[in-house]
Amino acid sequence: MKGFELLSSQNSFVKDDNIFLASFRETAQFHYNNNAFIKFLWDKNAINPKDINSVQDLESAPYTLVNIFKDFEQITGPYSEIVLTLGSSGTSGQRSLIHLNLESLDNVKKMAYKIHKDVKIVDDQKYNYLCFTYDPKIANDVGTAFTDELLTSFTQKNEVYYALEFDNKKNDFTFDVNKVIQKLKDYAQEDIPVRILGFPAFLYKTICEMKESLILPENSWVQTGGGWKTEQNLMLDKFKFRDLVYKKLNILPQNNRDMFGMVEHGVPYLDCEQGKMRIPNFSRVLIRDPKTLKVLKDGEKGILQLICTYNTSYPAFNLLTTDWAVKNKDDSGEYIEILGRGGVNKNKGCALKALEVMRA
Amino acid sequence: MYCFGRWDKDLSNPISICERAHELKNEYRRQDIERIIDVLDKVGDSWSYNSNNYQQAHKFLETSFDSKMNCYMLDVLPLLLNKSSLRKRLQAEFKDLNLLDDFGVVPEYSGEVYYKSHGVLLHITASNVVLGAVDSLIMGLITKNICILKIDASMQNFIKLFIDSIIQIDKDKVLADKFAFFSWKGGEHPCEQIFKKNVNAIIAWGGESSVKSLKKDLPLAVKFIEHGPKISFQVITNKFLEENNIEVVAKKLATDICMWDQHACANSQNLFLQDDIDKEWFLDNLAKAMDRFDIPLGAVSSDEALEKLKEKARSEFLEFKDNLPYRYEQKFFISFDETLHLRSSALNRHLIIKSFKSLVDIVSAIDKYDYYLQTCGLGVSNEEYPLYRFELTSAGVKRITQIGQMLNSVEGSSHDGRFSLLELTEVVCDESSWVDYKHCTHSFSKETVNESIIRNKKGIVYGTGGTTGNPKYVFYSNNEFQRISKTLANSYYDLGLNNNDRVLNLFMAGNLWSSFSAIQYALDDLNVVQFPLGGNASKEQIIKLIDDFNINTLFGIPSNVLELGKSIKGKVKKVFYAGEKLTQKQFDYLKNELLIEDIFSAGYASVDVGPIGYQTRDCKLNEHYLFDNMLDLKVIDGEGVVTSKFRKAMPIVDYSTGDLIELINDSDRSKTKFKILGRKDQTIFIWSSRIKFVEIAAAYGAEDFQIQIENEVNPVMNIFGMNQVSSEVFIERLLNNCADLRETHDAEYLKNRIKISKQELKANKRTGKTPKLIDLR
Repeated sequence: MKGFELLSSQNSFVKDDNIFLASFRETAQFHYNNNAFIKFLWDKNAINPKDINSVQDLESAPYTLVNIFKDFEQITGPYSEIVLTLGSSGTSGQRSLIHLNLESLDNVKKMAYKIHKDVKIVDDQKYNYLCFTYDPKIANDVGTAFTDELLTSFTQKNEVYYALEFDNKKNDFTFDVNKVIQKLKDYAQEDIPVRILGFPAFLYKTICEMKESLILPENSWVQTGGGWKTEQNLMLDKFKFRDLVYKKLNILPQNNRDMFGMVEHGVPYLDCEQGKMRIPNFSRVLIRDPKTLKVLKDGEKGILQLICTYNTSYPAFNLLTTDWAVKNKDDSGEYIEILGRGGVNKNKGCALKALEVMRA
Repeated sequence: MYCFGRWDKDLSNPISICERAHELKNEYRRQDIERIIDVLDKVGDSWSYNSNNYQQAHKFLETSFDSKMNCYMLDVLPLLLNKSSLRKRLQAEFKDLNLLDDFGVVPEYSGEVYYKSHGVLLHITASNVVLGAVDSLIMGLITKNICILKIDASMQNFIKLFIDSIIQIDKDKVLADKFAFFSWKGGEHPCEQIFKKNVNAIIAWGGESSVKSLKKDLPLAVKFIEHGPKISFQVITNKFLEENNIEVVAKKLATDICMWDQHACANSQNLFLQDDIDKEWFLDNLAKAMDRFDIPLGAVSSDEALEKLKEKARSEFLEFKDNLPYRYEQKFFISFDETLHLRSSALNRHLIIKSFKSLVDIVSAIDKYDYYLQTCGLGVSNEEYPLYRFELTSAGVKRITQIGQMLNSVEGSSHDGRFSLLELTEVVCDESSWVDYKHCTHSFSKETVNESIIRNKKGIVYGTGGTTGNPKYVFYSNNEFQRISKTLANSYYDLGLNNNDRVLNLFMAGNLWSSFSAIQYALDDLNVVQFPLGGNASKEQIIKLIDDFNINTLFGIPSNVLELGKSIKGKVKKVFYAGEKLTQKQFDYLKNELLIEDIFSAGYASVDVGPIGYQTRDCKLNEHYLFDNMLDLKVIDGEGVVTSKFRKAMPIVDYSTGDLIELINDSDRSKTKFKILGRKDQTIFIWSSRIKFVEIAAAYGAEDFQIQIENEVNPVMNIFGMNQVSSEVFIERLLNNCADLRETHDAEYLKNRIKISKQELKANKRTGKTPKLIDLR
């Protein structure tokens, strides 16, 4: 396996199709050779990784639906090489287990660092961290916690506070909003800027509980990710959310960045200053119509398909998600807008439907 | 919105809507159930195929279904509202419709019962299920609840049309102003919280999250009736397929899967297939049947398509992993699953097949999901059937049907394991109406009857003999009388009386007599064609009627029927008699000479008690079964003594029937069978002796005779009949049979006092009956 050449590009957001396609062929070929299911899929579609020679060709590369990773554990290559196994947060009750070998883990970390650096989130300054996430010391297999720990590594750290604390009595994670507010008040008294990471719904709930606004130190940031999960009813428009955070915590709107990521797909899609989730050169994004499976044009709503090449231990290099999204383009390049989780969540009739999980 | 008889623009004041609903609830409770049914029946008529409403609705229906499915839905609407279907539904749960109007008696309970509506009922219906919303409203209305209905905005045009059809029909506002509806698109309406807390009950249909959110913070006083999401499945065993044609089976399975595009809780989503059945062969046949299903798949949303895509990906993986086959088409999708656990399919005609070895596998796959389980379409052999039924229902299945019938509910079936209509009422008891039979005697005085009238208000009074100066009466409450007619109707139905029959009622009418009207009410329940002529009509009149209308069934006393003689031969096929004993000779005549095919007792009854016994086809002449659930029967000194278990208005306790009864032990032990031997008091006091009728019959050699006694001072006994017997022989036999006479007189004394004449029997002109004894002394 050659090195991950995409990492050597000057800027993560400068597109280079040739390098990406070469990298894709190599990754796909590796999985084709080492993963019987991937071989089965490609053979069934009578296509070979060597046939992918253009961006257009990517549309015909067999993809795997994300639910396969939730229903059946997947790995390419031997277990003995796995150095980290992560689990998705399992919003709808099902979790994927993602196995990373050393090379893939290294790529994830380097990729994340490079993308954050290129959107100017990496900083040598010292920060106080408030993470609305599980303490990774306890929840070390949960992908989001891994991501947050990774994200705190882009700056110098003063204090890191995890808002979802483990309660031994309840044997579960708990969220104490008053403790969090107190922590923010403490941070506001210090000169060190603050970075708030994690699920947006928790930050929103915290702000709603705050009676008075706080002035956090200059150059404080919010980096949300992971979506609104089960709190969809609370979900605020990104720009309204930015305004609210600015009013309550004095964090500038351009310093409030959301991120879309999936533990099955290690490429982060970060908001730029304008709040657009940019597509880096590490991946390609297609939007498909779930009825016809045709690839849709820019601006058309469909199902998000994510293609990446960094991973040699987990066969999700061509992943069809169940998220609604739109792909768009402006002068700075391509970006995506995530429009929520797809699938039936409203009953047409009285039949039990897929998203209603039967609890035994 | 529509608000209790008025169209309003919006829901400006939910509190006042609730207040209005509560004001109306008692008025609606007082409405007769029959009137409510009548109105709905007429509304149903206005929705018949291609009616104006039907055509309009077809335009308005905003469903995802294909237009053929919408037509099917509209075809079902008049059937739902049809009088007999509404009655059947109510009867299956309440047994007696009148108990929705007022207190009344029920079998095996000593007090009285009234099914009182909850009052104000809020309906939260599942989106997109038009028929479900209408049916929920019907259920609320026939249980006399004031209904507030929340429906999805997509259905509002249709519901408006439906309400307009009610307004058009229901000019008297029996129910048109007893409900309100508002429509809302998705989620919770701002007024919902107010409604939730100010109604008496909520019936909720739909998804788990909406049912759960409704349940939250509900006041204790509000009854919550939930119909959350359910899952149904099919079972096919190897033996079943050996006994049945695969193409027929596949067609039936396809119906259970494809109807309503699988959005109904009774649609099959999973199929358990015994593992020795060839998967590819089965799949091919089922795929063919689903492909040919005659109603096309409706519109599938993008989110639904995504669900199908997820399942397709899974099938692809299982094809790779376990070599499991699948068929994925636009119209349908069939996949195999590697695990047994019940799992919801992607819907829109997607079936997941699971292989099982034995019944234990299915039970372990479903028994954790008790709450969610609904219907099982069972395709097993006759030998397998009892065990499968028991085990599957024990594991939580609420409803078993044949395959192909999962979407066709038998009227009156339970829903999700409960009786849905019953749940919309409270069962109220009046224990003060309990009759202490131990300390109770029956009385037929006018005072008793007047007391009963005051207490019961609605009822019916019959005469029961007595003298001109001191007549006796009997009172039945409407509820009691209707129960009697229903009981009789059921027994006639079991004896083969059906709606093809034309029935002439020849019982005596008027004069406070009971039999004519009791029979008429019973026949009402059977939907036969009735000719209520009465027994006073002339023979010519009766024959003409029989000829003019091809009447095939007679109800009447034997004398009247026999009098018609040969003129009914070959025309009348069924005779139901009562009021007199039918002798074997008479029976044989009717059967053999007049060619009557079915001759049955119309019931052993008395005006005082009501029906006592009924016949079934296994009963010999004069044998009856006791109406066990209505009466207790004792035999004291050969005489039948009964106590009514349901007569509350005028209790009947240890009432002597005056009939000689013999209990028959050879019948089914759960039922009481008996034979009527004759009247106990059939004894003549003459020449200082007591002579029983049975002794005279034995001497005469036949049961068909009439005794006329003349001359008060020196009584003479005339025996009329068609039997040939000399007076010498008769006297000799009588002295042998009757010890009392033998001890008093000899043959010489009797010689001039007993005369035998061969002559037709004389009927009483008023009653039509042929009395055994005409005592002219």
